[in-house]
This record gives sequence, C-alpha cells and structure tokens, in this order.
Amino acid sequence: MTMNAQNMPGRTDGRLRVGVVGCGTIALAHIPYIQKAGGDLVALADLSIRQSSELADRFGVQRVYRGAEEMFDQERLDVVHVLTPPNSHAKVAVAALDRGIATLVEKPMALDQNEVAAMAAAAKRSGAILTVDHNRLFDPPMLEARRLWESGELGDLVAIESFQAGRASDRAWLGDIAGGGLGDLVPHPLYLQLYFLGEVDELHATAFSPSGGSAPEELRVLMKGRGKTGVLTISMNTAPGMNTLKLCGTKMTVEVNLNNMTLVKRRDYKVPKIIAKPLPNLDEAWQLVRQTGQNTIDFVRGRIRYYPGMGELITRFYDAVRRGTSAPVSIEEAAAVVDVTGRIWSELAAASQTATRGVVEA
Amino acid sequence: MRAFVTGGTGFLGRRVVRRLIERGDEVLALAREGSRSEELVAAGATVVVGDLGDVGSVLDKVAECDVVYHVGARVLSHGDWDEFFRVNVEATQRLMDAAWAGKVKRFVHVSSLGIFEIDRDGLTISDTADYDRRPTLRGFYTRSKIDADRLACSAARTGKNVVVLRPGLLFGHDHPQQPVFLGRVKKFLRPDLLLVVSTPRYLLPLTYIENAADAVVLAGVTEGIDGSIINVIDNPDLTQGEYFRTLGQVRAGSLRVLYVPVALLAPAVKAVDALHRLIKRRPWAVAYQLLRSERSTRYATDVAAARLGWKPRVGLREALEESLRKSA
Repeated sequence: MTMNAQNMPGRTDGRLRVGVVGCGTIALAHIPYIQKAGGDLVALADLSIRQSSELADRFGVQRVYRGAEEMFDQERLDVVHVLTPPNSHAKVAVAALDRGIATLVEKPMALDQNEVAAMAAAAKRSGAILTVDHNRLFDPPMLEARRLWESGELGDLVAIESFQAGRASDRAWLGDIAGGGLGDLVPHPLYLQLYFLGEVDELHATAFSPSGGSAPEELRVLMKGRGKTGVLTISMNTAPGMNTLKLCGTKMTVEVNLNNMTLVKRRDYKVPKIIAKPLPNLDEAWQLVRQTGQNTIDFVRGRIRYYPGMGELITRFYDAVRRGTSAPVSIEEAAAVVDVTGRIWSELAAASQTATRGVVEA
Repeated sequence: MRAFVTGGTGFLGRRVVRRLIERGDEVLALAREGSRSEELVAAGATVVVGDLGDVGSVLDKVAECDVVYHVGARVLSHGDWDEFFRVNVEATQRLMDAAWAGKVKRFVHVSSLGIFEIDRDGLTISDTADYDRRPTLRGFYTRSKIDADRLACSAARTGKNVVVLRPGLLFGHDHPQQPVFLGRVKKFLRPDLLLVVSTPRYLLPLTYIENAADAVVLAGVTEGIDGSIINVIDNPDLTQGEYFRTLGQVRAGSLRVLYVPVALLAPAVKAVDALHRLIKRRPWAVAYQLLRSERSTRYATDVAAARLGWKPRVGLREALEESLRKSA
C-alpha cells in the first residue's frame, strides 16, 4: 500500500483532487457540491459504463474507471466519495483509506460492526480521514437546533422524537440491508436522534406491516439514554411524507421540519393568562412565515439548493482534509448508528421469535 | 498475423482490410448482414456477419485474433442515444474485454478529433488534452465517441495493450457525403462561388483516407507503443484559406470562397441562446457548436511521427486530385 505525500493530512494548498465511486442517483446530489467546496472531480468509477459515461457527460468529468481500485491507483486522489450500494461501502472505503485517500461514505456507513471495525482500522493505519454522509445534521435548521442545545438555551434536553414518513426509492440493493426498504430509511432519523441522545442504555422496538406482508413498514423504537429518552418513528404509510425532529428541553421545545427547512421554538411566555393560549400559536405562525419567506428568497437567489446539509458537510470535510482536523461526522458517531441499527433488528427478530413460539405453544 | 477489423465495409475499414491482406495478414472483417461485403471477400478477407449493436456473437472470434482494429462506428446524424451508446460505447468496451480475455496482443481503437474541449481560440491540442466538458451539447455521435475514447484511454492508462488513434476530418473519393471537404457550414451560391461560415485562417485538421488507413495499420503492427494516444492529421498547420486555394487549383472550373466569420453571427446566436436558456432552462446546443467551431485549434501530430513513424504518404494536392478524379 502506498501513501502519497500530497494525500497526508495537513495539506493546506490548493484544490483537492476528488473521485467518486458509484454513479447512481445520489451522485447527482454530491457532484455540484464538490466543486463548490474546493474540489476538482477528476474521475468516476462504476461497474456500469453506462452509468459512469452518462454522469461524466453531464458534469464534464474527464476520466472513468470500472474498478475503484484502478481509479485509486491511477489518479492520486486526495478525497473519494463512496456512493455505491451499502454492501460494498466497507470494501471500497478500506481500499481508499489504505492508500491514504480521505473518504466520505454515503449512509448507511456499513452493514455491520465488523465492517465498521475494518474501516476504522484502515483509517487509523493510514491516518486518512473517514466520515459518513449524515447530511441532515448539517441542514440549516439542524445547525440552529444544535446551537440551541449546545449553548444551553434549550435547558437540559430530556426527550427527543424523530419522525420519518415516506418510502425508499426502489433500488436493486435494498434486499441486501436489514429491513429492506424500511431499513434504508432508518439511518437519517437515527443519526439525528443519536446526536442528541448519546449512548443508548435501553432499547425497545416494534414493527409491523399494516397490509400483513412479511416486510415491516411501520417501526417505532423507544430508547433510553443518559438522562434522556428518545422515540424514533418510521412510517411507510403515513401521508404526506415527513421528516421532523422534536427536541424537548427544560427551557424550550424545538421542532425541526426537514422537508420545509424550518425550525419552530416554543417557549414559556411570561404574559397574562388571557393571551397565554393564542400567543404561542401566533409566535409559531410568525416563525413559519418568516422562515418560509427567507427560504424562498435564498432558493431563488441560489443560496440554497437541494440537500443543503450535504453541501455543508462536504465543505467541512474538505476543510478537515486540508487542515488535518477532525471529520464532520466521527467514526464513533457513525459506528453508533450501525450498532443501534443492529440492536433494533435483533430486538425485532427476538420479538418475532417469541411471538412465533407463543403461537406454536398455544 | 490474424486481424479482426470492425466496420470492414466502411469508408476507412475497407482500406484497412485491404492493406492488411496486402501485408499477408489473415483478416476477419465484421460486416452487417446485407452490407456490400463482396469487395472484402474478393480481396481475400473472411467476412464475419454481425452488428456492433449486438457484438456478443462475434466475441469468441475476436478473442482468437492477434490484433483488433476497431474502426467501425455509428456515424449517422440521426437515431436515439440508446442506439449510439450500444454501438459506439458498449461495443467498444465489450470488444476490448473479449480481446484481453483472449490472445489479442494489440487493440487499436479508432476515435475522433472532434472530442476535445476547445474553450478558446489558438489552443494546441495534444494527446492528453481534455475532452469537451459539455458533451451533452454535442451530437450523439460526438458524445458517444467521447465516451468510447474515455474508456479506451482508461484501459491504456491501466496498462492494457490498446492504442487510441484520433484521425481528423477524413476525405476521399468514396466518402459517404462528399469526396472533398467543402466547409462545415457552407452553401454554394453559384457553381463557382462557395459561402463558408468560417475564416481563411482557421486551421483545418484534414486526413486523407489513404493516409489514415496507413496510420491504423501501423498502430496495429508497430511494437512497443501500447498505451499510446495518437492524433493523425496530414498537416497541422493547413489553413482553410490555403486548402480552398489548392482545391480551386485542382478542381475543374474555378472556385471562389466567400467567408462569413462566425463572429458576425455571434450576437444573433447568443441572443437566441439566451432566450433558449430562459424558456427551456438549458443552453442551445446549436449555439454551443457554432461558437466552438470558430475557434481555430492546432492538433499536435508529433506522437504519430515519433511512435508510429507515420507521415502522410499522399500530399494535399495529390489527395484532392485523386478524390475528385475517382469520384467524377
């Protein structure tokens, strides 16, 4: 394994040479941010030449490869974005990290803890930075929510609720991950949840399919952390699709709507009782009107695009690569998401076995 | 040596077949069912009936050859992208894969000079120059040739025994459209007066078909050039003015050329483009292509001389005379 001097953490000069492995739909979201964050997309790799060629045509990328390792060996990359199906994240990331290439992996980071350990070990061996695309943590209202918590304005955080409704896009590899389509929806609300909840001491999960099918479509997870509880809901049948996070503190409650990119604060108002009922509603309505107006202006002026958190995460990641500082999402944070995901599916499997045994015994 | 030639009945391919047979090679020539392959059979080639749009049935024959000359391509100006991709891109990759899985010692990929990024006037294009960064604004033919070239060059970089050849604008008496080049955007106002949207100082990257065939064969048989990417142009310094003067001298009857610089049309073209961007939310491909075509570019040919030992056997005057005489 080789490590180029230019790939060592700590470089502060110029633009980064970036490669992308996996030329599917999510690459369309990543690529515009690469340039913006100070990277030059020099090469793409995908097993499908149709996928890589068409993406290269669209973005004027000069070089394509069918194998990721061929690309790593030829292109002296500083950074790679691993956007392949989840079952190959670990293999591709380890190959990149072993060559000293800073690596951004799409979510979910890996299928299990063994893969996580292999990726973490490769990052440690080479000193290259590894991070995971937990992009929603960096959406503008999430950054504000994080600030409110970290500055103490929320007070002590006691309860967290993350809610995700919708259906995963139909992809060939969904069968490779635990929970299939529902499993693909787990990482986003879970990493939001765990960012605030921290370590999970207790976990209870239940899932079912309203249509009676074998694949779960509705999931609820109750978690207990240190001094906080968290509830995670994933619904494939609720309409409309929705992504929200509610943070309940001892001084303030905050609700983030990640579909509409708004954050609504609800506080105690020291006002006469007669207006204590309508005032919070008026305040919330005003917050929504103001933020919707600002978002509209920002969108029209091109200040925000789709997946704004991804842009912020990529910018922070590239800065970390240049300066040799820590990754925007640490390996430990990403590993915790894989760990808790595994615990959810184990809990569900155990519950299902108990139920089956109960039916047989009855 | 046993050679496999795609596009065996085409403008360039049939000359490559003939040259190889003259060398004493055994030639398998790919030709579509119903194409005029009698000439190939008469010359001594074995015709393999097949289609680049579905190369699966011929891959075992490819693997058994020593050299593959991938000359064939879909060159039509119409058709859908799927078809162009299948014939010009996917077939190239499948042929290369079959070659490397078999005993093939050299894969010659015939590409095109129209694939480069030309964002300003006066560039010199070497074999490592960038591809056009807006292939989606080019026609399907050029876009697919960029895609195929990118795959072949990727193979060349990773140590595969491929040679990528990029001939210029080909001409010759049996060219499917016209025996000699008469301008990209042009119109005969009178039989002796040709209007050309360009300038006399524009550098014309022409390659006479017989010279191109020489280069293709050399790319297949010259040792020690694996991984080379080679531009093939007869005279990199030939200006359009000089070309049309020579053509006027060899052509029956006089020829006057009226040049209309693209720059004259540019304001109108840019205005339509702006409207197009506003209404359709994307650039106007015609504007992109027209403005690109005014930028004069010099294509470096030193690699062809150094690696292949190639220089044009037939000069411009002789090539034009031959093309016009045989097409008459």
